[in-house]
Amino acid sequence: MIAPADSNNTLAIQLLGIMEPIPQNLRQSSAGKISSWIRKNFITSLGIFIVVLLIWRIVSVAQQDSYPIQYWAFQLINGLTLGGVYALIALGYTLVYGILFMINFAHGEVMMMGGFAGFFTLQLLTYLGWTNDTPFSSAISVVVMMLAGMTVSVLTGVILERIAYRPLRAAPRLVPLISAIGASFFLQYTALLMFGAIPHNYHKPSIFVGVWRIGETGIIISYTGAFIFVTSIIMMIGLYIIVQRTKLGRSMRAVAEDKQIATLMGIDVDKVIVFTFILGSALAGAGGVMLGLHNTVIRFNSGFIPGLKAFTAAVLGGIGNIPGAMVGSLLLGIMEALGPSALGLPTEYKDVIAFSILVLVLIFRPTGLLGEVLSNKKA
Amino acid sequence: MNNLKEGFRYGLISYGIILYLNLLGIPLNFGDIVLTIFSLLIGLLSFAFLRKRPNHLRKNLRNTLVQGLIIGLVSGLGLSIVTYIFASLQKDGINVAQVFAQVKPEHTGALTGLTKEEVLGDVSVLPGLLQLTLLFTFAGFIGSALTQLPVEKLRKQFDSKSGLKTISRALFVLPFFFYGLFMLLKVEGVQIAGTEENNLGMLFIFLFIGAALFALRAVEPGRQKSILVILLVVLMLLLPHFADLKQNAILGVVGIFIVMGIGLNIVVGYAGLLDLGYVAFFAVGAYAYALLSSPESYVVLNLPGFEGVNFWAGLPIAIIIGAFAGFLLGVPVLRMRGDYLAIVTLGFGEIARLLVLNLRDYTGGPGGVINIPAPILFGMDLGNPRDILYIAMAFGLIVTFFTVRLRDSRLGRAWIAMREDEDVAQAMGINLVAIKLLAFASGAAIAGMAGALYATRQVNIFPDNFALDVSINVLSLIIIGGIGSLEGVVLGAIVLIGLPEILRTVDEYRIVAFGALLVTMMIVRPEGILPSTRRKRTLHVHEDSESTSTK
Repeated sequence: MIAPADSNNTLAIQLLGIMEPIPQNLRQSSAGKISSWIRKNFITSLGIFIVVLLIWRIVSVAQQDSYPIQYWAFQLINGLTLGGVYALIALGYTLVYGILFMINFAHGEVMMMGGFAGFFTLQLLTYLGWTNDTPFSSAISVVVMMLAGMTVSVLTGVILERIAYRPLRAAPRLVPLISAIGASFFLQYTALLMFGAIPHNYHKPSIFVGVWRIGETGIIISYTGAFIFVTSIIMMIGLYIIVQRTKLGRSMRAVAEDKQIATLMGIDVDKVIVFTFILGSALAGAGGVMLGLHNTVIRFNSGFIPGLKAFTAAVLGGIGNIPGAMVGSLLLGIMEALGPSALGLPTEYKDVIAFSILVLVLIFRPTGLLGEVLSNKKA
Repeated sequence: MNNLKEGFRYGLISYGIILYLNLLGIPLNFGDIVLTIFSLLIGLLSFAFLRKRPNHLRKNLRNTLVQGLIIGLVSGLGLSIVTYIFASLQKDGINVAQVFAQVKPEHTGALTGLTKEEVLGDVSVLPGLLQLTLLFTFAGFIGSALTQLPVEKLRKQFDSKSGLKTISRALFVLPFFFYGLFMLLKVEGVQIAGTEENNLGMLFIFLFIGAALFALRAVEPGRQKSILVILLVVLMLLLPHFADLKQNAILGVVGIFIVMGIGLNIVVGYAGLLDLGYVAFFAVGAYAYALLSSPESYVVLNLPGFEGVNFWAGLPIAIIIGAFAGFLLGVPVLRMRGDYLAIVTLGFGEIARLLVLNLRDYTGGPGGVINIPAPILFGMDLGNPRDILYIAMAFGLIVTFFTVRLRDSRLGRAWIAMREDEDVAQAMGINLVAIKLLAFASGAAIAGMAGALYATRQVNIFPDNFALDVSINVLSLIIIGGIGSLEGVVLGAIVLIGLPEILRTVDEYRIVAFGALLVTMMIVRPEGILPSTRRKRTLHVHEDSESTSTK
């Protein structure tokens, strides 16, 4: 006997989500339609609700107190600078995730080590009188400082991979993560004990002292900010070329695709992984020095929060995706700089905003802005 | 030739480790015994490196001894060169401590047997460095010689069940023996690594508890075990009466961490959800009780006629609010797994702290909440460390009871199934959403309970009490103790929370050591010291299948 689908059946099908429920002939009011749509697309409607709430808040704040346009421009530039630094760190997360499918939890600390190395080099160069002598020697000292930061970060990253990650490559996924957490705290408190708890203040080299004023608008760009932004863009382009055009980059992509087949094709997987860590750590080291120049201070824990935020940026752009990390970082930098003022909150809440973005992205778009859908194995 | 190269490589690694410890300030903090510590370490490293080589190489006596000598020599010379450079810089009046904060003249002095003035003055450091090099070389040599002992046999004996039993029985008796000896002789001024004499008693208490845990593990279930359990419970109940004020205070902290560890064990150990923001719930519980009870809190000041609740009324509220917070934070992370979950919960933990810090009007901001009342029962003030310890013990027992019942229930089995494989669990008809939320909520409820107890113990609480370190401490203690096992939580709390409290010199190195321990543990023994049987089997089965599949 073929009976029309009874209500019980429909409910079961709805619950299982196998197919759309059979349309009913009952006349539904439009309110009823909306409510049933909301029930079906709970996550989407929640997202819409949050967006509406945010827009409402922004509009109402904008009506109450209007900051001058210069303020917004200043914050935007600040955000772009910060975004540039985040991008350098986020690329390290993304590169490692792309290959090992693990979050290198200690990456922020690798960056911090680079920042310390840069700081001590700067101290030495200031002592030798390079930083303030002529513009040329000042520029050279910046380059030396960056190189020192990158070298120390690369060393830290490679040792980290060798000791804490390589023996665990075949282990269940929680195991390397816990090891990474351990390594992160190990490095952080090593820096605390080795270099002391006092904040170390970066004294800017003479070429960084000063600002550009753009015409009559009153918009100000500091030399440091411009340097950070431009250098990070150049480095990102460099990385992109390495990954896309060189032989090592090709092997990296092959290993990311499938380790076993890459081995069969004659690729030394260990070497490629080390190379990935070198690339990521070098960028992080440069990022650490830049962050030091930007914040003018470095401490044992100054890698932790930026590390988390860079991770957020990587997730926002789509983890494992190199252009995604860049876009996500710039976006996050801007949101963090403009967010508190736009939402009418004190600036202390900028970290809260960044973490909220992470949570929201993971709920509403786990693949990020540019990410592809990962299979279960990778996700 | 190859030999020398290998020895040289090991030597460089040992040198790296020694140099690291040196820059970390071990000489400065440990003073004169630093040379002994370093020599022991070199011996140990030399032993460890040389023992794991293939048999035919290890049996070659001359080869081994030469390598041991090289290991010691390389580390000794390396450290001497670095120390010499630092010493010359210090003599020139350059403050090395601006870069390496711990390298002060006293630091150099401790390594070379000189005083601070001698280091800065005209006395040469070279004789001291020569002595150091010779000592290290000797230590490396001894370490290599020890590899010739039949260690394998001993190890096999330890690994077999009967061996474990013998050793744990011995361990069980030893602390009593030492404690008795200690009491009998009344040794005054005995110090081990910065302990004071009453701390030595504490050390024996810890040893006793640790030994008891191993003994519990070794004894077969049955009458023997029940007798042991009863004996231990009675001893534990008597313990606070024998311990002095300070010892009780330390044990109280350990107790609070044990309660938290049991709670986190539900989330991480049973359900397999790596939660790094556990401190958030601890903070919620503490602040819930503090705000409802302290006469100076926002709630009590602003609710007319509300005088604040007492501990026994505040406790259930703290638990319920904690559970609700767990539920609330569980909802957004339902779809996340492993790594993502860890990072997001970490973010939540930070958000909680930032909120507490910045919502000045309600939580008091950095000024915290002060004058939190002590628990009162039948008119007795239970705020002193001994009674707090009793409360902590009671909480521990209650929580253990609930956890064991939960673990063996349908829900507990569902958690374990989910931990092993979410997809398969779901296919078996387990409602992942419900059990995940229940795991978060029950873990958070226990954290809320611990938080309320912590608040009343501390009297004043501040946002800094709820930093990320707490999450990391709790996570480390359950992982190192043995994930998923209750004895493991107790052992972990004693080793990671209790020991650093009494070994004050070690305390500075607590988190560095945790980090190193976590990494080492993951490599050497991912199931922890006292693992649950199921967990151990899972991890080892996994290893076996991995190794066979790659072959």
